[in-house]
Amino acid sequence: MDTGKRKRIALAAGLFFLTLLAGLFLTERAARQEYENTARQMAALTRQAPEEEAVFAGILTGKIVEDSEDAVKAGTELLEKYGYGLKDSSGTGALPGMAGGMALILAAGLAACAGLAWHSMRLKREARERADYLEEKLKEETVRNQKMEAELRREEQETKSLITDISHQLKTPVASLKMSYEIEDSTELSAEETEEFRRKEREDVERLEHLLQAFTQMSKLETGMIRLKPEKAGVKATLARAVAGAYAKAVDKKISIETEEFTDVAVVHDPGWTAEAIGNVLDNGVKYAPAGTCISIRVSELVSYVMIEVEDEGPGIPAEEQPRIFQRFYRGKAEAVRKAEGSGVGLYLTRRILEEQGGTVCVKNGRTGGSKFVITLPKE
Amino acid sequence: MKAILETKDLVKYYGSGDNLVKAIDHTDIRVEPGEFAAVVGRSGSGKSTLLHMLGGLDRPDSGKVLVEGRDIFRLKDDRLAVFRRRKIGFIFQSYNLVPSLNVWENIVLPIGLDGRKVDREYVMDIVRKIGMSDRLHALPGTLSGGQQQRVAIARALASRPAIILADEPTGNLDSRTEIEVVSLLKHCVTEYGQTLVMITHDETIAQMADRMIVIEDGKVVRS
Repeated sequence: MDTGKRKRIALAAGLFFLTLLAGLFLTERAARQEYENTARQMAALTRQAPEEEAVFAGILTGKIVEDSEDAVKAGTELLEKYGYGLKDSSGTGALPGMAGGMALILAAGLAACAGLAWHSMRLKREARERADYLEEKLKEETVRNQKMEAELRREEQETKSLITDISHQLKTPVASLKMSYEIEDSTELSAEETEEFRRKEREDVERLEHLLQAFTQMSKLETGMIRLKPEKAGVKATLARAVAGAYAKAVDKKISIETEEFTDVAVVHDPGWTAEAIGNVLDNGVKYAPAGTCISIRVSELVSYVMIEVEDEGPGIPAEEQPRIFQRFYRGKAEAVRKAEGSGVGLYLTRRILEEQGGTVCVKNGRTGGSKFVITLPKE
Repeated sequence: MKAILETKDLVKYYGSGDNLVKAIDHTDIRVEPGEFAAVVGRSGSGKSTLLHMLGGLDRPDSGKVLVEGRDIFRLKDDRLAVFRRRKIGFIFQSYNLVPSLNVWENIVLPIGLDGRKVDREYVMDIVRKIGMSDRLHALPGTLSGGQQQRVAIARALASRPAIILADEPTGNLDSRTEIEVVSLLKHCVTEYGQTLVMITHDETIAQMADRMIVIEDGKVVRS
């Protein structure tokens, strides 16, 4: 900025001196022309009347001056008599040359000034545009930061309340187990009663297991826990990983998971976390679909995305609940969902993992009344 | 957080007497910066009218629309037009591309209208994201619906508006293209820190939003 300013000042000073020099040159030339004219007149007059030399010199150099109105009048009359008017006078001598030169210099100076002004205006405009651009960029960043901060704060709050909630829930099965064991220890039970107690105990342990799983999932939500390491890898391997994770539970419930044949596509994603994201959707299907049904997976390539559809034959999700199932800690209102243990974290985690990779997830109604989860992952 | 887009007691009625349609009936909504809000409602619920007001395309009977805390309807028409060009990008169901201009020319058109210089690097980044870098010289007539809507998305993003308003952007697309276009839109606005308000009657699409604003008979029933 400073050098630019100095350059401009130097340029202006140079121009000024150039103008001055041209002016001086023109003046000098005009003076010489005037002097030569006088010399020519002197020579001509002296040739006509050599004896009046001193008088002519006096008149031409301005030493002898007829200083009266009459003199001007008489002279003008004489000059006009020989057809020499004011008009003829202005066309001769040094005057036109000088005036023309001056006008030229003035015009050139004005043009240079205008050019400079235009140039500096353009520079200023560019600087302003740049500033606007940077300001907008800054605004974008600020918005992103604010959003993230608000999210983090809310997350923290909600996580805290859920931890309290689950901790309370843990008490019930533990207390129930304790009581069962105490009764078994202190009382003689019939075979039938023992069987009943065993069943109750198994239920309690299962419940504990679910709650613990919820805790593990929640710990993944903790700030900075999801660190994605994207790499270019095939979707097939990731999908296989997700299916393997849900396989044991599916076999237990006699639910089959079938994937339609597709050509593998390599996309930039984090295979581990993405497998977890898809796994949560599969888990969900296994959890709520009746035994003997099938979960089918279909992969297709779109223009900029790979689309993975996971369709189950479960009870489906009511339309008014569909937008909410990806919200953190949201639990379905249906009886079956209420009864099953869960934290409402799984699908939220799915959405978050996918969105952080530029993908999306949504749920639609399946063809058989179940749910169809549609996942997209960007190809680049 | 301060709202980037806000309506205060907004009212717009059409017709009179028995034919009176309360398109927007004392509506207050609030959208925060960087948010993706889906406005959901049946056709005729007033959601398109609401979007037109938000974008300053139509003046309300009463009430205010505040963009970054500024009442946009206090601006004169020509100033409002400039404000709209700079702050808001529109995406319509019918794409609204200029048929005689090629893809690139369509995308940079709003920047040119505003007399600004095109930030080539930024626009090319968008073009790459929407997967149209090899069709820059194609005319809209030779593109599929999905491709045309991608171009419209790029056009809306190119002038770096703070707010993108999309009116049923996937209304004319099949369900796969629909998912893809909304994925793209969501990804882009997140990337560039923009705010997106999208009108849709399709609740599947609305699931991808951060928040749903449900409109019935010109009133917000849930948000």
